[in-house]
This record gives sequence, C-alpha cells and structure tokens, in this order.
Amino acid sequence: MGPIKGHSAGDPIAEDAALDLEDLQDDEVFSKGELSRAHAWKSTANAAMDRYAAGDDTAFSELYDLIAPKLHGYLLRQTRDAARADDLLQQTMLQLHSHRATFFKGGNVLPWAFAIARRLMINSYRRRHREDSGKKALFMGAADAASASSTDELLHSKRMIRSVEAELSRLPEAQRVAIELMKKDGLSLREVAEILGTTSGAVKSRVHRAYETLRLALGDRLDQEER
Amino acid sequence: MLSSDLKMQIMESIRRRPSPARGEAAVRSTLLLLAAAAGPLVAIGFIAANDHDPRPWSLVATTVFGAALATVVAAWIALGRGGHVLGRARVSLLATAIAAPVAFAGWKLAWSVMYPAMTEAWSERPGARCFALTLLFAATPFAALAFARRGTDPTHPGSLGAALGAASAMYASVLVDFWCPVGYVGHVLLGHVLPIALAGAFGFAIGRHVLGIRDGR
Repeated sequence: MGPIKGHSAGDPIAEDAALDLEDLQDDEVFSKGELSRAHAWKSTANAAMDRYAAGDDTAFSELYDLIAPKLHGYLLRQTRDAARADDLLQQTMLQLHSHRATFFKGGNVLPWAFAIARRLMINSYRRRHREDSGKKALFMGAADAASASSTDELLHSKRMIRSVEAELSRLPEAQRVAIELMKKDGLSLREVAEILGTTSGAVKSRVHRAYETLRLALGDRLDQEER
Repeated sequence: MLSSDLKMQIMESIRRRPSPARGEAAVRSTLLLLAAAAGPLVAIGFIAANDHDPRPWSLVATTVFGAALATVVAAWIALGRGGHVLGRARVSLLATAIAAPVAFAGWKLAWSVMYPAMTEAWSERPGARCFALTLLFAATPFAALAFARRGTDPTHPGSLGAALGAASAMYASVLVDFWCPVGYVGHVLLGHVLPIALAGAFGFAIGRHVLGIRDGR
C-alpha cells in the first residue's frame, strides 16, 4: 500500500477520503516511515508497562507520558467533554496500575489500555443514562488554514470536514468505533479486534463498509458542491 | 493537550493505592488457589475412606484419569490468555464451558458401559448427593479464581466467568467421581453433568459483575 495522501496522525479523516479500499491491509494504516515510528513507540510503551508490572515503580511516569495523550484524545472525541475525559483517563491509568500484575511479559499495552478506557466510558454512559444521540460531531479536526491558498479553498475544506463528520455520525456505532480506533488512534486491525472483543476479519469488514458508505455519501456531496 | 496537574493528580492517586507487582501477585494467587483446592481434596479423602466402592480399580482409574485430563485442558483454556493481553476469544471460553460437561458425560458413560452392571439403574442413588458435593467442592476454587481475576476483564467477563466456573466444577467432578460408584445415565446426568453446566452458567452471571472492569473510585 502506498502512503496515504497528505495524511499524518491527527489529521481529519477528510484527508483520507481518497484512500483506495483495495489498499487496506491488516497492519498498514500509515506510510512506511510512520509505521516504523509507530512500532518503535509501541515497543517503548510495552517495555515501560513490562517494567512497571515487574515492580519498577518509576516506569509509570514514562508509561503515562507515552500512552496518556492517545487515550485522552480518544476519550475526548467520544465524550466531547474535557472534564469527563480527564476523569476517565485517571480511572484508566488507575486500572492499569491496580492490575499491573496481570500484564504478562511481552504483552501489548495499547489494546489493553484502550479496552479499559472504552469499558469505563460505556459504564459511565450507562450510569448517567446518557443517550447515544449520534448527533454530535465526532472529530475536532479543523482545516489547516496554512495549506489553503484562498478563502474559497478554506471554506471548501471546512465544508468537506463538516460533511465527513456528519456522515461519520450516521454510521452504525460498530463501524464508527472501528474506523476511529484505526484512523485516529493509529491502532492496527489486530489491536482494534482485541479491544472490541472480535476478530480481525470482522473489524476489516466494518471498516470496509464504513468506507463504502462514506464514499457513496461524500461522492454525492462533492457532486453537489461542484454544481 | 494534557495538563501537568492531571498527571500529578494521577501519580498521587496511584501512590496512595499500592498494587502488587507480577511476582508477588503470582505467589499470592497460587497459594490461594492451592488452599482452595486442598479443602475439597481432604474432604473427599475422608468421605471415600468410609465407603466401599464396588467398581473395579481399572474403571475408577480410567474415568478419573480422563476427567482429570479434561479438567487440565479446561483450566488451561480458562486461566491462560493465549498470548493476548486481553485474553482468549469469547468463543473459546464459551466453548470450554459448554464442552466440559459433555466431555465428562461422554467419557464416564463410554467407560462404564464396558463393565458389567456398572450402568444398571440404582434407584437409591439418583444423584442428589453427587450434585450437591460437586457444587460444594467447586465453590472454593471458583471463589479463589474469581478473586484473583476480579476487575481485570474489559471485554468479555461473562465468558471468562463461565469458563472458570466450568473448570472449577470439572475439578470437583474428578474428586466426586473418585468416590461415586454409580454409572447409570440418569445419575451421571443429574449428579455429575448438571452441576458442571450450572457452574458454567453461574460463572457467567458472576463473571459479568466480578470479573469486569469497575469504576475505580
């Protein structure tokens, strides 16, 4: 698979609208350079968690610095509430601490942390009787004004991003969660499957259907804007 | 952007709540499980010592050995995580809980029919005592396992509970089978198979509440 055009971690998914589905393979989410950096980062996080599980209490600070930003970003996107995201992050890190003994040598901390965060968030929603309205925007991405050479291009980018956000919110939750975890949080198919308690094939199928839906919907929007 | 205040708050929280490291937790869990398993073992020893068993020793050895092997497999699946930090797949755990009673019944009956009179109906032994003893002997190992794994499963705590319940009941069934001389179908199903199935179902219900991630506040 070639590099995703103009993509870098954290960019709005609008940038990925041109992704060719046939290029979607099991562990290939980023360009090769970004993939090797992602692997190095994951190895460092896993090593920190392994040291912490073995009893090195100083490793927690390093672990926090490595995974907390990603977890917080995920929680913020899901809750749209900074205070709740902070609270859920704190609970997640406490769970990692309380159950550090269950982390086996050579394990992968990221799916574990995300699964805990997701479960705490679901528990929180149920406790608060929160409606899953799907009406709120899911991405906080904003157009990169520096890359727009004109006001028209900036406006077009913003409209495009709003369109993508709107279509994403209409996706079934299973597809939306899968595509977010892969594209926004940079997790592999295998890791997303572990977090969601399903198979890689099922995740791939969900992402495939999500992309098809987005392509059909955004294709119509693009046609309308060009008229 | 995360604030440094949040990090300090989290670091202070974990400082106030010590948690055991891997080695220490492994020792504690092992000792707890051994103690939980030893109780029923001693109890069945006392019970069996006072009863005459009409079964041939070869039948006792084969049925107990087969049940023990199935127990080891069930426990390995239930306790192991298959190389994944989030544990084995839900389908593997549920299959274990379903297959355990079936395997026990099949093995027990298949060997019992090979011996004369071992599968004849025995009206005085419908299976109530074996049913009660199996559930009783399964309780302590299951409690120990549930305690050791409490609050650790964020994805499928019910399925894990079902597998742990079935594995605990399989262990109890091995002990009870060592003592129980009855091999007719009705008794085996009521007294030996049904408690394994119920332990799996009970484990599923308990697992959802005890083994799942809970709010840490």
